Amino acid sequence: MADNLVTITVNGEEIEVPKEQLLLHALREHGITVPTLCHDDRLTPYGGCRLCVVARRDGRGGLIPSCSTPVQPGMKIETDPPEVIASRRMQLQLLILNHRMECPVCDRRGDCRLQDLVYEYGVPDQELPFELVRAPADTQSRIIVRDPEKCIICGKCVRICEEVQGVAAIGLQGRGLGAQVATFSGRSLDCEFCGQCVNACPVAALVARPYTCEVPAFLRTSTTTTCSFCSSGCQLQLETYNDVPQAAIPAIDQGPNHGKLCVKGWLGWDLLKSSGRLSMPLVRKNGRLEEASWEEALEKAAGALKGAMEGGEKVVGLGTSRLTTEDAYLMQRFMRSVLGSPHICSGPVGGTRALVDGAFAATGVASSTAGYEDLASADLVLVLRGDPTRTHPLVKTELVQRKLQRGRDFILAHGLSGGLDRHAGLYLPLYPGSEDQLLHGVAARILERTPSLAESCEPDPGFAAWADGVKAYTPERIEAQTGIAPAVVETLVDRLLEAESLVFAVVTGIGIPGDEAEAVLAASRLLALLAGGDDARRGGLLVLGEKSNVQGIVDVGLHPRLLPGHRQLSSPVQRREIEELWGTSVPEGPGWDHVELCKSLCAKEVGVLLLVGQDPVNGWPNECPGREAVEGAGTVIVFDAFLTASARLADVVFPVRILGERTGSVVGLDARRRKLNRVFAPEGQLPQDGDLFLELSRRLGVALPEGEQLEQEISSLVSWPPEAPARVSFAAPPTATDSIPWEGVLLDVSPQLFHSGTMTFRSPLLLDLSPAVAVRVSPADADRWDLRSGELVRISSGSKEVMLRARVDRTVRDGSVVLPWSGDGSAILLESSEKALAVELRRTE
Amino acid sequence: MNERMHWGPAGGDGAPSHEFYGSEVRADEEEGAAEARQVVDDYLSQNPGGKERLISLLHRVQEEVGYLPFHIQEYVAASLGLSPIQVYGVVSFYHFFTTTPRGRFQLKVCMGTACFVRRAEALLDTISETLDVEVGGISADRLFNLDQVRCIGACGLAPALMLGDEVHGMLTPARVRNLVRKLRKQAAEDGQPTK
Repeated sequence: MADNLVTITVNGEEIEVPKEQLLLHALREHGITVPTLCHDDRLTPYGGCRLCVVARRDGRGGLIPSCSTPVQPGMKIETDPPEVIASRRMQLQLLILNHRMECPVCDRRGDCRLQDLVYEYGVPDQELPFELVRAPADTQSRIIVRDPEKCIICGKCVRICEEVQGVAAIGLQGRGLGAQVATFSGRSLDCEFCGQCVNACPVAALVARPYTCEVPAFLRTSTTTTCSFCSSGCQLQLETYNDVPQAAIPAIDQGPNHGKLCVKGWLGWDLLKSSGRLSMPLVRKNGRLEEASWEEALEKAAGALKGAMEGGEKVVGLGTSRLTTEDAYLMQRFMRSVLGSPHICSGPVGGTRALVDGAFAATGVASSTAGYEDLASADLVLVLRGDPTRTHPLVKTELVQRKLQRGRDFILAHGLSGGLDRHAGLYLPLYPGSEDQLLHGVAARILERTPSLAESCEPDPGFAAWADGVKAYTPERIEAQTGIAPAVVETLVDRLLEAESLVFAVVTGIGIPGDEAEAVLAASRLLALLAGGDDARRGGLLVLGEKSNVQGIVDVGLHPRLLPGHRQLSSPVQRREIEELWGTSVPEGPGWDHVELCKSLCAKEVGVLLLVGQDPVNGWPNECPGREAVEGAGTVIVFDAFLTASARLADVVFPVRILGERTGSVVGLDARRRKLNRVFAPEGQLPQDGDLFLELSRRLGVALPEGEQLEQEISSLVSWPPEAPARVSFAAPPTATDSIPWEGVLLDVSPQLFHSGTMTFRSPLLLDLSPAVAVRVSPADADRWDLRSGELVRISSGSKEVMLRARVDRTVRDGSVVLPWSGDGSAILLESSEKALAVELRRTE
Repeated sequence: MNERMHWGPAGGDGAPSHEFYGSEVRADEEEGAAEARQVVDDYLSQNPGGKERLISLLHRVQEEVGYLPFHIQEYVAASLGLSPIQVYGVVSFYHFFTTTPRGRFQLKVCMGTACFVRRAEALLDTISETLDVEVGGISADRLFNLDQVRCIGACGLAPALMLGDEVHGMLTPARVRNLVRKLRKQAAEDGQPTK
């Protein structure tokens, strides 16, 4: 018998089960159902409800809770003798005695674990004298109603909030019959509104107001799809009735989220029905945008494109990293092979820059090399440039579970606290944007302490220059540049050298200070150095792209320099591969990135601008004057679900499907491709972006592949997951400077949890939850400027200025101010996302 | 009535404050908050460690401040990397901790078995009526706290109560009224009640 198996006897039959396995899981795997109410595979064993009891028959008699008892060799179990049934029945009776029974009108009718079990087991005939403990429902929150009279104190909500979400916004207060799930001092719920408590509740003690279920569970349609709000790739079961969302439930048995959820995936779907949705094409007539037929709009767009091609004018395409993989492929194919233009990019997307100018430059593969399994299993995880709490909630919950459920550490190097820093084993509050310098400093220390590690990297032609370059990042310099003391850097070096396997997770997002590409380059090279030639030790890089399909659009070549499958436009050999497959020539380029594109547009050098889900007017950093750019194009064609500020300047606007209305696939931050299934149908039978490219190319006399043929073409060029990079190349890092590159206070731009300022801004529910925009100032700085919470303050950088409320906050480090990323705050100030921005604060009288 | 009627999306104006995003220094801070924070800071710097210090820290704060006001619980939570409700969960679980201010005199009526059968409840009712204070509460003049406790180990003197650290036994409602009268007189002679 294998070492890792033990034999136990269940209902007289011997079975072999893994050592240390929970009895409940062992029984389940052998097809024996044991009822549970408080157990949840996402949580640590609890043993609260005692419904999972089984009888032990090997001398140590009695009823034992199978959910929290590990199997032991020789254990003899009976799963349903009369005393077990009687015990379960009694437990159920005790539960329903203190449960307000209004089953026929309950929100959970037909979908209630307690009801199911009472139906299965019945309750004893004997009545117990007991009166329901009355307690009013807490209806303060706009989102979640808590009804203590229905609560069975299984504690699942409390535990998921604590162990998985890492927030602990609710807790068990008091004890005995007076115990209640409560918020601190009875306040209105103040949390991340991830909805996990509501979904974990086996009864209707927690109810989501937006999903107050007028429609019982058995009438709803359930569709599993990939959530496309961010790049985490969560699998969601969306329940609808007549196209109206009734519930958003994370798929417990499916990765990568395994039953985890965040606020956007839970509530954001209301944006689909937002009043701003376009349902008909718009065409500019006599200077005004007016509704037009599809035929008219398509003819006008095709005409403009044909005119530009025949007239030798430039045609440029700006896509979005929210496109499906297939639509993105069609877009670049349409631009390159139908219109013959090399100018295609996806706007100022940090994730694209990190993948192409970072990962691709260092390894030749524009992908993350680690996945979610590595986040869980690596010896150590180092998170850089941001707190996934706000940008990638699934990564956040993975890290929380790693720490709280498995006791494995992670390190957070990021200037803003108030999220994961609470759970980080080592928290490095860096100056904004100084991550790459910290990594150079760490590399320098490692080269000094363990020079043997470098041997495997030394053959690389760039290595000597790199090693020389990082040596200039001395501990003293690192302290001046990053604010991290030499002793702390040394601790970080110790931890990195000790770890057998590592994951470096680099957060990206618009507005986040510092250069994401430099951070990824530094991270990749440091990982290669730490591996010391041993691939097993290398660990991986995880680039957390900001939008749902950042990875996918890069993979299929929606990029000015990359063709599908990370082939380089500048390589004649690789270009020819594509040309042979397409049977057309591929324009040589070089293609413009969004900065070059913006310049050409402003200089009125562009005939047609194709804006696909992009809104340069709103939300582009200041260095790219979006309005001037869009106005500078001869003709502007827009594909968008909403009449954005840019769409208002367009000549033709096509409404399209978004999010859960689409089919296709997206590639998550772990470089795995996942299917999108259509859940909702938009009004007016809208097309998907890809359908429009197909139709426009037909009108231009070219047939692009669709359906099966398209899928075959994509799979012949791109593979998911990508091949692991063979080696990391080195080059000299940026020169270290002595002077501190700023005066005044540094602006730390904080991405928001509840919306990212563009698409999710259209969700009334999410908008309602987001905090008022305020600038967060440390107490010492507040004293310096004589500021108090709630007062108005002017924040200026050069000639630009915004006026916002101040919020004095102990978690902000001295010398920096924190401003949420949004179109009306930091966006106005931000000159460039490449460096940290110094600002001045003045109190207004 | 179907509860759902007031659960619709329209109701509930409790907007989240997003306190979990940080720790705001509010302009309208409670009296004594800075001193109480100092108690927390001092304790934590003198006793290095982690979250396991929660209970001993709460003991210390209650010793110094007299009770555990919510704003201090929040500060304790922030200092230990816990969430406020995790702190309150502990505070509300253990009888010893109190979130109501402490008066000058602590009356703890024993409700252990011996005292219970010798009608300790009558003592409790008498004090409650005489002082117009609920069990677990503080009197309007902030002189008396009234609590009930489990056995205080003075079963031979049942029914008994504790006044601060002193045990008073063999009590009757009349004797309790007398005791309260005496304490009130004493306080009036001393002047202002303590905080």
